[in-house]
Amino acid sequence: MNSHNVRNNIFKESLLNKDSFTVTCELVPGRGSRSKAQDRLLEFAEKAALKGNIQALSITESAGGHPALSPEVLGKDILKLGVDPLVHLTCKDRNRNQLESRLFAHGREEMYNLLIMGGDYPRYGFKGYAKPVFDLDTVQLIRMADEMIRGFEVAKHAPGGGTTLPPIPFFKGCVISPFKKLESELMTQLFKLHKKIAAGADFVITQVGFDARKFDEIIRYMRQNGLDVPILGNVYIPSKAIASLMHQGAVPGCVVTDKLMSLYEEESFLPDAGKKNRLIRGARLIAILKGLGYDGVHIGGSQLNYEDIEFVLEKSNGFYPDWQRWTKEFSFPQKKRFLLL
Amino acid sequence: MAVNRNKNVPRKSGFYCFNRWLHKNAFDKKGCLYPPLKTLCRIISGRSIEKLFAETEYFIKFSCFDCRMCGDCILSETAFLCPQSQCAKYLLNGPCGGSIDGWCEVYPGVKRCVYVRAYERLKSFNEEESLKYNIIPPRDWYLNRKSSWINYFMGKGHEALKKYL
Repeated sequence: MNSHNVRNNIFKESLLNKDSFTVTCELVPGRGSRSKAQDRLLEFAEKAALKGNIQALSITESAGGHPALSPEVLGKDILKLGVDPLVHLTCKDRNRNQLESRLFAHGREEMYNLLIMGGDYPRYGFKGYAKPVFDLDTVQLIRMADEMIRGFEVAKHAPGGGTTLPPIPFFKGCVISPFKKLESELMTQLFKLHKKIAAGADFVITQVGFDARKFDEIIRYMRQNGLDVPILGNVYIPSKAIASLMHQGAVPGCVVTDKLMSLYEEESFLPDAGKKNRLIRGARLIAILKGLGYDGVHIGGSQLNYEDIEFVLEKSNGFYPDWQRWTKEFSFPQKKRFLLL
Repeated sequence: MAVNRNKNVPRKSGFYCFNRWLHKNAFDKKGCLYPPLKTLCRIISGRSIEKLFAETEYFIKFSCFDCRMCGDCILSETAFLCPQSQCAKYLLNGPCGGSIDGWCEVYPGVKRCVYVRAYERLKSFNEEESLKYNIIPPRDWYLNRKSSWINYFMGKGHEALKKYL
């Protein structure tokens, strides 16, 4: 049997170590195979590898439901540079057999860290909207990857059946959307989180949000309900254009309130178009999340380079001792939102 | 301050109550319709009349639930709302993260999220927490366009698979 060489998984070790605070950054590969934007992502990864202050680089898969360079391609390059990739794996464009093939490929390439999601509804593609597949849902896909950890058993009646495949040491996470307005929306999100963890999710990352009270609510809910897996808070630093799209409701699941949008608009008249303020706000959110007891942060944003992330991380250390002070400043709730805790 | 979840309990819908009653009588082992239906389905299974039976089932369930004839019905687990026809992503184990104020990510302002509706129906019976526990396995495409009633009584579909999960 050709078993897997278990290399050091820095991301996993960091996240399971209660004393360390894990940092991941999100990279979004665009459409095309050799674009300048993709070169910039690799440049980012090179610097991250050199400094070693980011434990994993997460790579999105056809974000927004639009086609883009497959994440495993960049993942392979990033792994070679010496940073752990956290590859997004979504259900939207593949059936279960294709997902299984991709999991085998990830095992072969030693890309063991996965962020498993349903994915945004497929939209613009070649000569029209793409067919939404969703043959499996997130819970079922997590279960499939989880079974591969123990060694996948091929059903007896299937061709080549009755065998057990070599185990693959996946470390798989899921997402939770705690920033919901209605009770029915929030509770069904939480119920699904129970299922994801029961199916084998090893960690959780929150959706993009700008409401400190809700960040607090989800971590307390997990503690009170025995959902004992590490959680990373999503720190998204949007450009004004992306914030405006979120404000219009064009980015599924992400809410920018009128109050926050007017702040972005005011700041856009500053000489740096408000970039420094947005970075500082991100740094404060990291401090808040650290204070609330999060195991790490997942940083994302548009038009951010490595130096920006370094600036944010450095500033967050300065903000951390007074983290409670910043929670008041970081409160952009939806009107009449349901609060569970 | 946190909002009290026991407040604002939705009203029980007559259609939902009727479906629960019918389902219990037909598919619960203690139900009065269970023995004759089981016998009938076992006799029909594998015979030429099976196709006509499946078409009849489809006609009834299409009219009532917008059925897609997947052959492995989960209506009783999602408050008699079918995710195959009413969820844009065909999700069986709960909602995606994209809903906006209770509306579906794909059809905002047109279609409400099927799990938001299921939660409200289940809450009217204090059963909303059932959405937390039962992991529904993937749809088996071998059963596509076959009678879910016959499959159920023949031990096929997710009711049988659940033991494995």
